[in-house]
Amino acid sequence: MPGTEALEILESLFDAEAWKTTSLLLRWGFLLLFASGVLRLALTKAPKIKQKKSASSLSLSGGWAWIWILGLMVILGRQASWQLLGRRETRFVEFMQKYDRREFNPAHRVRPGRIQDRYGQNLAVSAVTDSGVRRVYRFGSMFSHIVGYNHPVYGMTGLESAARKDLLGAGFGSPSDLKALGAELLDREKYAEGPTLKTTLDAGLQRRASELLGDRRGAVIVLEVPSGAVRCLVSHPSFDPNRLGQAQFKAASADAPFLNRALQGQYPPGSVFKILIAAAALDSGFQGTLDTPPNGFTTSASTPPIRDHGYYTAQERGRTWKGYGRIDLGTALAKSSNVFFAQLGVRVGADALNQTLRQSGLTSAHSIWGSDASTLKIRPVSGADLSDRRPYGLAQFSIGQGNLLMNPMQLALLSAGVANEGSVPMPKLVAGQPARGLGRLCSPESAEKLKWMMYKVVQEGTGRGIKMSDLAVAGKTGTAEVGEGRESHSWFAGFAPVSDPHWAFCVLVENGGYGSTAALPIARSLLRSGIDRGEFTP
Amino acid sequence: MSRKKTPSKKKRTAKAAAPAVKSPVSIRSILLLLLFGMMLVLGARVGGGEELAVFDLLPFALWMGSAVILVLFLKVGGYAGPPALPAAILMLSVVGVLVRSRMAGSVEGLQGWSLWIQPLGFVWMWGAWWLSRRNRLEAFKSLGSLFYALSLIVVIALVVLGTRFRGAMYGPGGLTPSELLKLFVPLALAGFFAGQQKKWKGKGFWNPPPFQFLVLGGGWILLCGLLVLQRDMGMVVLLSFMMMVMLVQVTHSWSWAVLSTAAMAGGGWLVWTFLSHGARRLEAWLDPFADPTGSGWQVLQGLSGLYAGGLAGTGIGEGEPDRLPIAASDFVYAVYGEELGFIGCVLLILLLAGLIKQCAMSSSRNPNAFSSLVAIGLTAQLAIQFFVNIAGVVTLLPVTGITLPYISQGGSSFWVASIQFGLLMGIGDLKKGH
Repeated sequence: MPGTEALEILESLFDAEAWKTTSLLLRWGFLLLFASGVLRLALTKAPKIKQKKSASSLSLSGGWAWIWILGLMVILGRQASWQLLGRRETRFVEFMQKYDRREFNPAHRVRPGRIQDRYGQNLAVSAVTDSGVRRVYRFGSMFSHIVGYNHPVYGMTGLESAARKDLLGAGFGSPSDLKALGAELLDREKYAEGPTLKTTLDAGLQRRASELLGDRRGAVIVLEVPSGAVRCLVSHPSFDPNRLGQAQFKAASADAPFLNRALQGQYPPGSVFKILIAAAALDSGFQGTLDTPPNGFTTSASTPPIRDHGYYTAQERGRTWKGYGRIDLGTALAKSSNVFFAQLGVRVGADALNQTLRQSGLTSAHSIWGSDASTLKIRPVSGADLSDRRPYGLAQFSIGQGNLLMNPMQLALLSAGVANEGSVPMPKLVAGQPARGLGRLCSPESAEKLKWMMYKVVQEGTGRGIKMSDLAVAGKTGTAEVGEGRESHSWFAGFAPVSDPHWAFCVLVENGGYGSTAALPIARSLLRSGIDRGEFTP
Repeated sequence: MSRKKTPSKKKRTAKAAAPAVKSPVSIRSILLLLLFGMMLVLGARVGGGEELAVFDLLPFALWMGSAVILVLFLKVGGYAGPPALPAAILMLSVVGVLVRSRMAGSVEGLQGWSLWIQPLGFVWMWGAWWLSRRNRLEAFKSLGSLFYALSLIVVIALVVLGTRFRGAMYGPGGLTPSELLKLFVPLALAGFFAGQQKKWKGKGFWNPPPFQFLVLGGGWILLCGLLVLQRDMGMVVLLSFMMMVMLVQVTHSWSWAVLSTAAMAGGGWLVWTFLSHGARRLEAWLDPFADPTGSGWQVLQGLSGLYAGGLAGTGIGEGEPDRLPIAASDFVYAVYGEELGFIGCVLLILLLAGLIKQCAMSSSRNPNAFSSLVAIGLTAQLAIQFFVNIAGVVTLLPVTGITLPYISQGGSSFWVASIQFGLLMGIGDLKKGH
């Protein structure tokens, strides 16, 4: 039978060593033959036919030819957007990685790029395993809240989620991207790893902050002024993104390790909030002094008086508190006088305070990645609605107590606003991103005054503990009461150096007691390591 | 030497209505194309660990035999239609036979009696050419109403006797008789328009000849209404588009295209609102990622195949079409794109452009209204089939269930397309004697 013979010849050919090269030649031969046939077809001119012109002569008019050709071109364009540029559609790549079982599909080797700190240290890298692409976090739990995780089962959080399109190489627009695109089309395996994302984070500083916080619950934030670049963002307790397990997500722990306290926590800001009250007062033209009676200040006979801290310490020691007397705003801030600020807040009024809070950008949610990201959002201030508050509520608000709840990032931004001539910068995570503003705290003149008042806090007030000979620091302590029988939250926020601020920071230690005892020493050590690394030398 | 001879030859052929022009693509190069493809398909199968049997060579042997015989018969019969039309059809058929035999190993392969679909299709093509050449088709000029009646009978028979499978209606024995509409309806419409060209000429949709317009509209609503009942939306789109092109050409007014486009958009909206089946397809089209494992699954698997193929493709026979549901019919283009890559797709699209150009030549060659209109209708219909199928795969349009002529699997559609090609070859072939 001729068929069997042909079969034998074919099989011996396919089994031969040279079949691989032969088949490659055949592939290109096929395409060449096809191409030459198609081109000859397309280039053939219609032969002219002699024909009597008849009234009934009908034919397809030229318009249809154009519609047809245009339609085919649109098809090819649409097809190319998937077949050649499919990498740019993140959801498409994710679909293929999850549901496409073609082993040779290069989408399976597409992996997010590295996330690096400002000095090129890898915070997150991709590893290709038999079961697919896995993310590895070299710093373990240290960056778990800001970098987050990307896990096949538990999904994505933090920067891993916010920047996933950039990490997969989805965004493009610049000429260098186009060049990369061309190279990628020819060898997709080689370009399977997405671009590296270099962040403004600082692994050394983050490690130091993490060590300083230790086992305590709390958060540490360092921002650069005026760019708003996030240098470190620590939230404790944290978790190891390399070892995620079902048990962690099920256990409802009071520690809430998955909560990003720095951005999402809700705490009474305590005295640190006096920065904003002072800013609003300065903007409204407040000058001069207010009396601070030893028995405190209240707005009606039925409400308990708001007193200064000195009243209680004196009472404990069996002495009488004489009060600060008539003092100005700077002294009141340095002493952190509740009696002064409660009066001041009531005097400035709900409308002006509301206005300051709103225009500083703290009452709306912003993602520190960008407006369209759903993660890394700064939780807006809660309990700040002053429209319908009685004077006593306003007095409580003015010393950062009552219903008012804020997070550490917002207090860091308040100090950054003072440091940055009154304008609050938008935190950013990528060096190349342009600096944006989040809002305005006060006028540059008010900010200049406030700056030196906060310096005075460190020089002679509650923040004396952070006074350094080689760095002019400005700051504000906070001791936020959280209810009977529980230790207060300890706050310290500030910036340095005063004359030309480079860092703005905020430290929170949950239930740490006085601001000057728990949070302030952490800030001091951080600044010290900054000095050691030459951060503040021009 | 030869230069001297040409003048006399030219003189002789000039008398004929259409001079015989050599095909720009020789049958030899088409056979070589098939041979290359065959080696690749079989080589991939052996590489995948399969044993070859004589049976595996049959589709290729049958194709080569029938193609050579067809070309021979056309030559002997003095084919003088659009010069490159047979070559374009054969090249398309090569792609078809390769893709279909490539899937023989998978579920929906080419087996048993289906081997004979292709050779018989070539016989029908030859027959249709013979029947319609030299203006013989004009004999059907006055039979428009008969063809319309036949169309109705087919549709009604399907409503009564048909069974539903995968959203389409099948007649007894798994045949899809609705395919016949692709022949009957253009003949019916051409018959309808041929006698009343003057009444329609220059008329926009705001001032059509009232009686004729009512007849046309009523007939269309009746037929398409029955088709909608069977949820055969693809056929409705196909026939409507064909009617639109014929109307534009008869009236010389593009206003009909505007009207029809608006009507189709409205129809699409109605389908979305009232047919759950249609709504699902539309939603999968608008955002396939909304339900990736449900309504978006098929489209996304097709696109995954395309992406896996990339620029140059995996190579014929090297892809994995069994990952794709209904790969052999609706989504055959995705299989082709996976294995031949974007380059192969560009070539196929160019081939389709050239093929339709050759088809369109038929209508301009024929001076008779009826034949011309049949050619216009068939050309428009083939073009829209190619377009709608491929556009569905690449998510330019929702998936309609229209197959890719000559490449998708299926006996009825292959034969009907063969007859359509045969008619187009014949309508453009007016040469008397040789």
